[in-house]
Amino acid sequence: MKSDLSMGAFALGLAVLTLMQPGFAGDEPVDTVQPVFIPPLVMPDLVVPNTVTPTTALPATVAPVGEVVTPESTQAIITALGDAGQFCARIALREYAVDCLSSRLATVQDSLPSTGEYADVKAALATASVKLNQLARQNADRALPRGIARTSGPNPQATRRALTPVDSAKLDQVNLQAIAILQEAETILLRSSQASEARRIPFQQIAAAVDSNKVLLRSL
Amino acid sequence: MNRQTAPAGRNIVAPFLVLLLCTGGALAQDQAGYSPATPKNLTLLGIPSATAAPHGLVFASLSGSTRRAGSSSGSVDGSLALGFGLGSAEDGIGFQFIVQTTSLTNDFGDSGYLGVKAVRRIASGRVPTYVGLSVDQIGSWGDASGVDTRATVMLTSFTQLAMAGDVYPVMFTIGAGSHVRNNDTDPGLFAGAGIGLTKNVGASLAWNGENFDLGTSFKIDGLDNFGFTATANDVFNDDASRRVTFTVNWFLRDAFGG
Repeated sequence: MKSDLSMGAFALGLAVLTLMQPGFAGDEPVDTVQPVFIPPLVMPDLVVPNTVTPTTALPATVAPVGEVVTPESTQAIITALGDAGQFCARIALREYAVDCLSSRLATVQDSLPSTGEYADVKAALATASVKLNQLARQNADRALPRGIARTSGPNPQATRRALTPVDSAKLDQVNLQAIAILQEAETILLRSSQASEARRIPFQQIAAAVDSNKVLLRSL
Repeated sequence: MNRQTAPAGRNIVAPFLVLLLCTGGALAQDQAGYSPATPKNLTLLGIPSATAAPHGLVFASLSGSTRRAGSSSGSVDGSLALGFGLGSAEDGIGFQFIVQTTSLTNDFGDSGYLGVKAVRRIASGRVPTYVGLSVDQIGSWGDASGVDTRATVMLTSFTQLAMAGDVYPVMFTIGAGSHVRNNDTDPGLFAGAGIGLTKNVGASLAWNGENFDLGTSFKIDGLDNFGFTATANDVFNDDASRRVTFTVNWFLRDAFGG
């Protein structure tokens, strides 16, 4: 405190001494620069309590996922999808959960190849992500601010974009629609799993990981 | 908002570019540290905004310029404003009162005027918006007494900009005043935008009705009661009046006992 005052007094004194020189004229003032007071509005980030240690330092990307189905790639996708649900569940305001899931699914699908065996997974997750975001925007709460959700501490995670909150009054209805969107993605993945023997078990596991995110929406 | 006819001054844009480059480094640090829970230093300099000091906050602003406004002189000049806030723009109307002295020489305080600004929030939610009305040059005395009372209306909105995994508060102001153009003699319009880049640095660009002002605002860790600004007035030298204005702001919160 004492240091604060002394440094401030020094800065102010220096400025006064600089300005108080002969020749200053009262009828020709400098442009007045008054402080800009920002009201207590400025939308806070949605700081997510870091109560759960992420299973990996992910999920900025899901790597490495090649075009051929491998146990490692499948597990990376399953882990990322699990982290998505865990992350979004930690946001205290449940109004942000739907768009949070949208954002995290987008992050996962961004990391998948557009060709090869996992292309169908990418397409299914991308479609679900877009639909969840549209759902949130169509039912947005105008009174709540948009914000980026993030954790602090080691292995920080954050959504890539600001999340749109859903109107609290419509939350139950919106969550049911969001569950239907995830169900649709799950159905697409299960159907795709029948395309080859190599896909069958891995895609069923990925579909189950998508299904696990419905738990979050049901718990809201 | 003053027009000058002096020859072009020194190149003052470079220091601002350096500041912005330094700011880029700070940005990267913020992203790596994931600490944006601390509000960023949002600002908009060069034009008045529809914002007012919080209730009970007393402030002093000491400004110095490399050249006098409205003058062809190349010497430095200064001004001092004292002010305080009353009321709340969110719950009713927020008022900001100032006493502006226009002389810092031996006859300190023998010239100046009063000003008042009233601000009201008209929209909340995703884009909080405020409207303000200010009246300045009230009760002028000394050399400033020959200047007309002037009125200004402002509309200021706030929002966020999400970029590169971080979020930045931004503000926009448009307004009109009775004394804006032609060396503060004629009515005119003004507009500007500002952004909080880090918790310590903000930047803005404003059209003051005649030319552009590039502003930067700084906070120094440990100096919570102080703020610093540097504004490049007429930054593109459109009116051959390019100059730099430095300001030290001092704040005392809850001066009225909370």
